[in-house]
Parts: sequence; C-alpha cells; structure tokens
Amino acid sequence: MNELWLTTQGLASGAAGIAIVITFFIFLVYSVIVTGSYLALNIIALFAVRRATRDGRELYMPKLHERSLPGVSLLLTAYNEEQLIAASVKSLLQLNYPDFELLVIHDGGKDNTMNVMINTFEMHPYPAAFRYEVPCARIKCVYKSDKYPNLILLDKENGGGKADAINAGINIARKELFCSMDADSILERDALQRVVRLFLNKPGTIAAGGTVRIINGCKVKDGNLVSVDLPSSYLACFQVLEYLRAFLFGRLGWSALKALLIISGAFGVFKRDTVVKVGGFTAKCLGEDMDLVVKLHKHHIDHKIPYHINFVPDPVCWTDAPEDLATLKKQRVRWQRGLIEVLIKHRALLFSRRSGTVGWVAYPFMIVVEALSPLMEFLGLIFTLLMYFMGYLNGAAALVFIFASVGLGLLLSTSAILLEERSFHVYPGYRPSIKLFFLAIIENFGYRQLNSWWRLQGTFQHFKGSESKWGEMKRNTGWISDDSK
Amino acid sequence: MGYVETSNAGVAIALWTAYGLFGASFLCLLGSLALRFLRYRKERKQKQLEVIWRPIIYAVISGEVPSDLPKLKLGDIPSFGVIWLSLYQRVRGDSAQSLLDLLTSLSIPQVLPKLLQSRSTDNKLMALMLMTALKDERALPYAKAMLDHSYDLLSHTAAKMLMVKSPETALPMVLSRLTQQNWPLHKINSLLDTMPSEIRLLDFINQAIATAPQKHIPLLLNISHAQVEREFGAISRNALARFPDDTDIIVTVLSLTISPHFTPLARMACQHQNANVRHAGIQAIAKLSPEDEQPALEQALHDHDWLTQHCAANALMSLPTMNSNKAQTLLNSLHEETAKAHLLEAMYHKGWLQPDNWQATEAV
Repeated sequence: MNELWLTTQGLASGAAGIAIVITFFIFLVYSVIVTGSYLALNIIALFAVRRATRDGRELYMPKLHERSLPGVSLLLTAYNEEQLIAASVKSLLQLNYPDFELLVIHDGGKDNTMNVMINTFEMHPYPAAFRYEVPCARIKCVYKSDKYPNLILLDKENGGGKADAINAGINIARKELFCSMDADSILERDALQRVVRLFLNKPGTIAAGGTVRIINGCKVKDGNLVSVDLPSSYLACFQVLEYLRAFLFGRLGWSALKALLIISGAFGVFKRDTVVKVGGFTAKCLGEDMDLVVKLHKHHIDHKIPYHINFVPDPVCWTDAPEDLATLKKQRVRWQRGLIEVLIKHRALLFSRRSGTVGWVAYPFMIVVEALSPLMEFLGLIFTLLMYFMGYLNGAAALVFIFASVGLGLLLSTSAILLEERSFHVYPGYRPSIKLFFLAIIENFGYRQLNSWWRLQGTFQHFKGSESKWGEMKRNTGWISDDSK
Repeated sequence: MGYVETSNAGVAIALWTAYGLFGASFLCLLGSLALRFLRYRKERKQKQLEVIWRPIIYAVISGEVPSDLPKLKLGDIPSFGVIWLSLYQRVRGDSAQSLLDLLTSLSIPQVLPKLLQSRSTDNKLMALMLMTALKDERALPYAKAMLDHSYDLLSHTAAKMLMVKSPETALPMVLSRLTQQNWPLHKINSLLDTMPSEIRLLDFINQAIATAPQKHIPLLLNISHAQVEREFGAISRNALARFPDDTDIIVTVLSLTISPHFTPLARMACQHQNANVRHAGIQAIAKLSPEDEQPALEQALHDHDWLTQHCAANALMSLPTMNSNKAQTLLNSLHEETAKAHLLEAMYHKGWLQPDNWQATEAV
C-alpha cells in the first residue's frame, strides 16, 4: 500500500527503505486515530446535545430551584485590567442569582485597577477573618463596597499566575460553591442558575463547566450583552470556530462519557470544600484549570468517593479573543505548556485501575491527540518535504491526502455549526453560518499550521524548562459600548 | 507527480473519501441553514398565533369570553399551549377556570390523547401539561410510565399529574424517591405543594419517620419543616428518639427548629465532638434561647475549629443582650488572634466597629 503514497522508483532498499515505510505507516495510523477520535466525539455530542439542550429549558418549570440554590462566590481575577474591570464587575453584579458574593482579586498588577475599583464601587478596607487554607501569595488587604454589600476586593501580592490569585479568592470565599472566571469575560444573566442546577439535580456533583463563546463582534452595554455577531477580525473568527468545536462536541462528548478533564478557566463552578481538600489550584501551573479537574478526578478515584464532573453546553460565558498574532501566540504557547505540564504531573492516572474512562480513554486521548499533535504535524511536514526533495513522494497521492485532510477538518467544523444551530443558534441570520463555513476551509491554509507551530514552541519551551509565566495579554475593548466604558 | 493514477484503487478510495467529507460538510451547512429556516418559520407562526390568541386569552381571564372563537388547527395546538400555559401559571380561581373552559370550547381535550402519542417529546410534554391542568385522568398511565424519565421536566410533570389526580398512590411513590438522582428535595417539596388539601400528609410523614432508613430521615425532616411546620417539633422528637446519635439528624433539627424546647439539645451540641454539630448547636443557641448564653458562646469562641469560632462570633453578636460597648469590652479581653479576627468581622457586620479602630488584618 505504501506504493500508493511513496513512489518505489529509486526508493532506498534495505534498512533505509524499511525505515521510510515504517515512518509512513506511523503517520498514517496516527491520522486514523486522531480522525476516528474526533468523529467518535462528534457522534456522541450529536446525541447528547438534544438532551442537554432540552434539560436546559425552563419551560413553565415553576421556580423550583430558586429557594434551594446554594450560595456562590464569584472569583474574578484581575491583573492589569483597568480598562475592563469596571464593565466586568458591573455586568457580574447584575447576575440573576439569589445568593452570591463577588470577589475581585487584584493580583499585584501595576496599573490603576485598584483605584478604578475603589472609586467606582466606593470600597473601603474591612476586617475579613480568613486563613490560608490553600497556598497563595500574601493577601495585603480586603475591601468591601459601600454601594454593593456582596462586592469584595482583595489586594494581594503577585504570585506569578492566575492559580495563585484564585487560591487567594478561595481563602476569602464564604459560600458553598465558587465560580472562577476572567476579568475579560461577561456572563449571561442566568449563567449561574443554569450551571448550579446541575449541583442540585445530580447529588455528588463537585464541579461543572459551561460553554465559553467569543465576545469580539458582540456589543455589551451597561454590563449586558445586547447584540451578538461574528467578529470582524478573521483571526477572532477562526477562534469562534475553534471554540464551537472545542465546547460543542469536545467538552459535551467527554462529559457524556463521564471523562471531562478540562473545565475552562474562563468559567467553572466548583464545590469549595472539595477543592480545598485537594489543595486548591496549583500555583505557577500554566494549565491550572485542567490541573484542578484532573486532581479532583484523581482524589475521588483514589478514595473511591462517588462524584460527578459535569458540563452544560449552554453559552454562559463570553470572553475576549486575542486579535493580534503576538497575544494569540502567547495564549497558545501557554495552553500547550499547561497541557503537557498537567499530563506529565498526573501520569499515574494513565491506565490506572478503577480510573474508568478518565484514565483509559480521556487521558490517552489528551496525550496522543492533543499534546502530541503539533509534534506529529511538524514531523509529518518534515517527512513529506524530505520525501519530496528525495524524489520519493507521490505528488498526486499527497495532494489527495491533503484534500481529504482539509475535508475532515471542514466536516468537524460544519458539524459544530450544525450542532450550534440545533442547540443554541446564538448568531442571528444566515450569513454567520455561511461565513463560518468558508472560514473553516480557509483556516486549513496557514492558521492551522501557525497554531501547530506555536504549540510546538510551547512543547519545546516546556521541555527546555523555560520560566513559566502568564505574561500580559493585550485586551480588546471594542465590544464594550462607548457609554459603558 | 504522475506515478499513481486516480484509477489506482487506494488513491481512488482516498479521493472518494475526500469527496465524501466535503459533501458531508456541505450537507451539514445546508442542514444548519434549513434548520434556521424552519426555526424562523416556526417563530413567525408563533408570533401570528400570539397576535390572535393572546388578546383572546386575556379577555377570557377578565371574564369576557368572545362568542366567535377562531379555529385552531391540530398542528397549532403545541404553539397555542405555550401561550395558554404562560398565562395559566399566573392566575388562580375563576380566571384559571375560565382558561380551562376555553380549552374545552376549543375541543382541545379531545385531541390531547393523540398528541400524547406523538413522536415528538416536546408535543408529549405539552399534552401532559395541558392534561394535568385539566386533571384529565386519561393521562395517568402515561404519567406513571414517565415518572422516572431522564428529561426532568417530563418527569416532574408526570409526578404532578399523579399528585393531582391520584395523590394517595403518588405520595408514597414520590417519597420513596427521596435519595434518588433527579429527585432533589426542592422538586419533591414543589410536588407536595400541589397535593389536594384533603390528603393528610402528616400521617404519611409520621409513618415514614417511623419506618424509613436512617439516611432518609434528614430529608424527611426538611420536608416536614416545609410542609407541616407546626408539627415539626413532634416529628423531630420522634426522629431523634429513633436515631438519637445521628449527627445529620441533630444538625437538621437544630438548623430548622425555632422551638425553645430544643435548647437543651443545642447546648449539648455545642460540646459535641463533631464540628458540624457544634456549628449547628451554636447557631441554634443564638436563635432559640431567650436566656443570656454569652458564657457558652464565649467558650466556643476559643474552640480549636475555625468555623466553630466563626459561628460563635456571629452568634455572640446576635444575642439580644449584646451591644457595641459590650462587644468592644469582649474584644479587648481576647488574646487569641483567631478569636479576635472573627469577632472583629462580626462587629463590623453589626456596624459596631469604627474604621479607625482596627488595622487592615492579616490572615491568622
């Protein structure tokens, strides 16, 4: 069969020839595994989305949940967020939830975030009694708002990452559940109700995530999302497709298999006491969101405690996507480093007894399909070029292979568009679906390769042991209406 | 190039696979556009129905039934049901009865059993909701079958139908699901709220308290508190007589009771080895006891457990005999940092702390 793809004319015989053929088959098998996994997840999600959408509907349901909803502490981390912080806080204060406190964690930034908070929300120091139940850098002072009794501001020393900042929030938080989120994110007004409902309906739920969508192109006024549209920037549009794929069939599929390993750092709800038991978020960890979820799985599997980690596909959180290459690169390098860091750290979970689909399906998938993919794509490209220059490549067959590969990528994207239409259809009109379809073709020529290259850099940086830091992210504020800034 | 022709079987398969993938992608796009088209059409239709029926339904609510009602097609019943139910949920008494009469005038009850057999779950749900409102017993077999359906709303509606139409059979069925998935306490309580008043829930609860497994008791106590609050004390005593050492039961009783009869239990709970019981005991002391319990709470303020100290500080500040001066004296007498921190915070919440009375606190 190798003759189809590699011409045998002049192909080195003996050991070199065998090595080339074996290498070719390794790439072929890898492609089949990746393709098969994604298609399988896609099919699972197709079945799960209908039910998940239906469960999310509150059609004539008496306000059953309202009187028994547990309290939630919203933890909003802010590092140099002076541009967005006031809009984010105003938006969160309008959440439709009976019992919540909002904790803004100023993570030792150098800009004017503290003053913006203190002046806008009339905050003053307050004698909060707290202890360091989970490790974090020193909390310097706690403030409370005169205008909003449920608004608290923490001023802390920078601990080198978001994980440390959230841990500080956990130490101050007083409610049964906490929800971690980013300052550049906007929540739907009933986001908490939709996600917390899972904790009530499924006793034993320890964590739940919701779908995160891209806010670029939308409009936010007075903290409310007033219109939804695709971003004008192509870079952000590509990310819309990525998020649709990742959340609508990725997370939903894994959740249906009871093997969800990631709850997005932009929006996740956790049981506070359970998180404290596993030591909170791991400081200095770049993949702190995945690390926590894997720790929770491991703790419950090791101690044989029944548990659920759930996901609601409802679009509950809208986040700002980078619109410049430098910021996007930082983000993708960080994600890849975080992924590898977590996978190596918790390798004991891989194929461990009693770990079920978590250790036997999701963990190997994360290693083979997610972590190794940039390396395999890069090596595959080198191999193809080598074969081409050595005259061993069957050009026609290679083109067919590329054609099929683009087709597969396109199918995964369009099935996500179909799932979106079948479930939440947030983008108005016909134009967004058609635009996303063409973008799903275009992304295969340049964007995908660039993404793999950045992730490969992340892989090398991890193994080289480069210092792991978050770095500053350039924010876009175009989605905030002028009178709300 | 050119070493392999597309006539070569392997490449041809790959090529056709690629064509297939592109074709499937294109179908997905068409599918999503078609779904959108259908959704827009449905929304337009819903709007048209709203324009026609909402004013009529409002008129019916206010007692002015139009003599000439427009015709309603079978296919429009689910959309009509959406409008009807949204208003039916908000009215009571004669207005509710007028709305039910409207359904009869439109001959809707005749077609509901057919809608119940529909392939669409949404249509089945709508039929069941309307039949529940009409108390139509033809839906009972279906409701029994749907009681444990994974779709929460369908299961809830089925249970509601059973509670409305056949409460004596339904009540034990519902109570027996207390610890099952998808049957949270608030769902059961809301179902009990719909039960006809002639059914004596108290008898069922007393029987359940006397026979149910230990893990059901705290949930039953919660239900008793929500449904038959006046009998909560007696029910709690029965539960405690059966399981005197169960910490969950003690915590539940102390958290819910407002009866001074449980003060001795609360005092004992303050000394309990289980921290959760101590918290409940301290909170109950502050809530129940008319006497000055300050010494017991001051003692709890020095407990080794962080949360017990926190509860004690808040309980102390809520005592009727406490005031700003007493709190300040108490604060000055404290030496332990954690106790001070909790008391400072509790005083702040009471408004008994001047901003210049304290330094920004560090964790202790």
